Amino acid sequence: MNILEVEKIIKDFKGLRALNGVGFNIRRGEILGLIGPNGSGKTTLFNIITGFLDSTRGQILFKGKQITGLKPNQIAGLGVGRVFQHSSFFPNLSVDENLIVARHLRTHNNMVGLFFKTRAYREEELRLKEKSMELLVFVGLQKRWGMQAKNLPYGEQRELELAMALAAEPELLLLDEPATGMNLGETARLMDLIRLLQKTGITLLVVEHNVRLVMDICTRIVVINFGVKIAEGTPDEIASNEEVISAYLGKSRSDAKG
Amino acid sequence: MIDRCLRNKYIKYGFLLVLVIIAPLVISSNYTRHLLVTTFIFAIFALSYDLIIGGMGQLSLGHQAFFGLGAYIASLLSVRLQLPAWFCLPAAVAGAGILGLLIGYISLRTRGAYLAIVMLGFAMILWMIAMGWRDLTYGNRGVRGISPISISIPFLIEIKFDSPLSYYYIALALLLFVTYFINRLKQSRFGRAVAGIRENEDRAVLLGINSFGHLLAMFTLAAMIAGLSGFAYAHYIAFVDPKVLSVYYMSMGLVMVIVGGSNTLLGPIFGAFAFCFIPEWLRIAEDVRMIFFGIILLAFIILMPEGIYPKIITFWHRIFPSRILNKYLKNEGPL
Amino acid sequence: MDLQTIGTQAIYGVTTGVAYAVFGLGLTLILGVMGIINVAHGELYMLGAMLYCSAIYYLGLNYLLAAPIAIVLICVLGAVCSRVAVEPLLSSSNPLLTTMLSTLAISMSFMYSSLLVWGAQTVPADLPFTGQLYFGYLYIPVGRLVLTIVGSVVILLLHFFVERTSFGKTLRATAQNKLAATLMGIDLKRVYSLSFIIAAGLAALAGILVAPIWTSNPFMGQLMILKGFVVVIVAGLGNIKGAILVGLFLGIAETFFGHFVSMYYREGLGYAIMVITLLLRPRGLFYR
Repeated sequence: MNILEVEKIIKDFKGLRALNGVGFNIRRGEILGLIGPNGSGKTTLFNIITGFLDSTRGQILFKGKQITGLKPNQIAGLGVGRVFQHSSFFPNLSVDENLIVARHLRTHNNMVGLFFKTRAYREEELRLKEKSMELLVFVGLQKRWGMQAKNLPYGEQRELELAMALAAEPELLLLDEPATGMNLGETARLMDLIRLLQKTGITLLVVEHNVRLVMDICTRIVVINFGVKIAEGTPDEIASNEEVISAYLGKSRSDAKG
Repeated sequence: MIDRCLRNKYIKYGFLLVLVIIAPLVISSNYTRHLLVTTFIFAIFALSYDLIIGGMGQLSLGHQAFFGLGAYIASLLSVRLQLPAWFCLPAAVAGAGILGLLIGYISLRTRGAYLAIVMLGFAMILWMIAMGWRDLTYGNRGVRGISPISISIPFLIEIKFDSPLSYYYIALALLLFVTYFINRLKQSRFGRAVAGIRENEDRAVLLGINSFGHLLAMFTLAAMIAGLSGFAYAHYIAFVDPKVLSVYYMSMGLVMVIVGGSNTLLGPIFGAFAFCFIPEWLRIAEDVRMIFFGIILLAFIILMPEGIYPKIITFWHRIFPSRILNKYLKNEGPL
Repeated sequence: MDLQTIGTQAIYGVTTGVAYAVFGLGLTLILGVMGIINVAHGELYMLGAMLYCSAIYYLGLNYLLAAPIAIVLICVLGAVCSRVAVEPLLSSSNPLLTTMLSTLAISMSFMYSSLLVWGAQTVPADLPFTGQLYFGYLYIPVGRLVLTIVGSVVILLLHFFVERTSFGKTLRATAQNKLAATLMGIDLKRVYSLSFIIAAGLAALAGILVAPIWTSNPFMGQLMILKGFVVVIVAGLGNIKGAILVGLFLGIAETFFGHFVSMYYREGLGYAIMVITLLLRPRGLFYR
């Protein structure tokens, strides 16, 4: 069952065709990797899927429904989450507050309860805090409760962002170069986390430069170059694909086989 | 035992409440009471201004428009149509709210400098209308003879709130209501969403938050509360002229928010106290006073941009340290 | 609606437009290079005019001496303001907000200080250029003619400066990408200070040029800054060419509107244009 269908997306910027008929599907429950050299259009594609950019032509279907042209918050509301490439959290709020805000889609307004502090309201607040803690434990940040987010070290900031994306309980999660700036140990932890996420039922689309990571955890891989899909298949198929190897100029050869 | 008392939130607040209620009865100077009333009224204005500056993270140079509009609506309804105060209040609040909705709808498509300047533009237009449309607003002469708030049940009660002592309680009640309202608002799902937008709009949007809608709603609420303060002003001072729409009140609001402490609950209130009481102690002409405010504002922006109130909190916690995390004591929520 | 009236209004409009353009240029320069709005720009303009008039009236200086002195003084003042109140805040979390507040504070201080020094009246001054010239059947105040000529020259000079000289390139580079500029070895601090000084000089010049034709009083800055805001918003983010065009347009439009439609609401025209621009093109007309 396809959770996301990208159909012949064409994206033109003034005088530059960034994406030229890219199309692929993501099956529910799999981890799809999206790789390609810098400038191949991966981030543009992400922005189009999440609604920050409009496509010039082509459409995107999420769970069978058209999402092209919807606003980003609407797409997020349908169950699409994203972790940014650069740090993207709420710097002056504390770690737990970050997650409470992130639960926005999973909470509802309770005006009466809010102003009269009813028991229902208080219980809901408690549940919010508990859920916050749960998410922190999941990413391993529980000892950072109460700390201002901007004071976190970089690696933990990325973990916070992951927790925030999960707080919304998305069905499809887009990871935008999650291993950026991570060392071997952190990358290994990240890979475990991603596998764990898949077990909880989330479908993942991962854009990454770290080819080893992609080869290791992805069910299937799509390769883009110059705005065009040049290959799609399992990691093994991709590793032996001539076009892919030449696009990466032999770099992937030793990585993929290793 | 005293330690536990000092820590119990309800005892602290209850004590303060009692203090505040009996204050005007204990203070003998009518002038001091008057100062307190104006402090309360402007504190409401400052709190509403901080919803935009601290809550939304945007600068608006036109917030005086809502204060002035509320004052004009209340005063004109009272003087021209002889409508009683309990009608003028919702009218002022609603009028300011509608204006806020309109202006916000146009201006909140932009951010930053554009937003600030456009607000100023709208406020200027309002000021020009107040000056120019003399048939409606009495122009520069202003609106006089606003009837004071009064409760009158024939043969039972006849109270006119036209003195500092009596109006003190109205202003206090309004201030307490607004403070409570804003406190709850900031801890609501809506308030947290606005905080998220302020901190990182792209992130908030990706979490499903409709940024334009939320900002517009918050802006309208800020406008309504400012309108409320305008109403309170009109029925106390009993005179409204175009000056209520001038940059004087805008600057006043900014000084109160920044000096007191933006994005805190009590900061703007504290700033209002400082603003209303200190000049009186100095007793200087308005021109010199404004120079001082300019210098003070500048000094605070550069040296202490978070305001005085957070410093007071830190100081207080040094004197009365607590076993519970400081955060939970001073924390009023994500904001 | 005769030719003479139209001609006169056109001349008045153009001269006003040039004044707006020179003023708006400085504001746009700061916005483009430093990314902030200098709310005190109007006060720099006002102080330029006041110092110029005072130098002529109280010190008996010749206008050719008073003008440069006033401009230099304002440039120094601008440098001080920039170093003290603007540059330290550029690295804060919300530089736009904090610098707007700090320059607002400065503008308040300046304006009320001027009120103390000069009082609320106009400074009387034996200013040059108060006669009139006749071109056919058109009367042109000499002051306006000088304003137009000098103003246009300055605008063209500045345009040349920004587009052709190496420092101009530095300015444009900084405006486009600060990080890249520092990587290219550009000293941001110097660029900031210099831009602010140039802008202050432009503001002072504008004040001096309008002194013969408009009243010079401590409030003139408050009126002018609003025009500057309109120019900046309508033209768009730090766009110099746009600012010049919008300034000219505003001057002409205002003059015609004020004469043929309504004097009362003339000031409102700028805001109306601003609002319409915001609705149609929120980033300004010339934003790319």
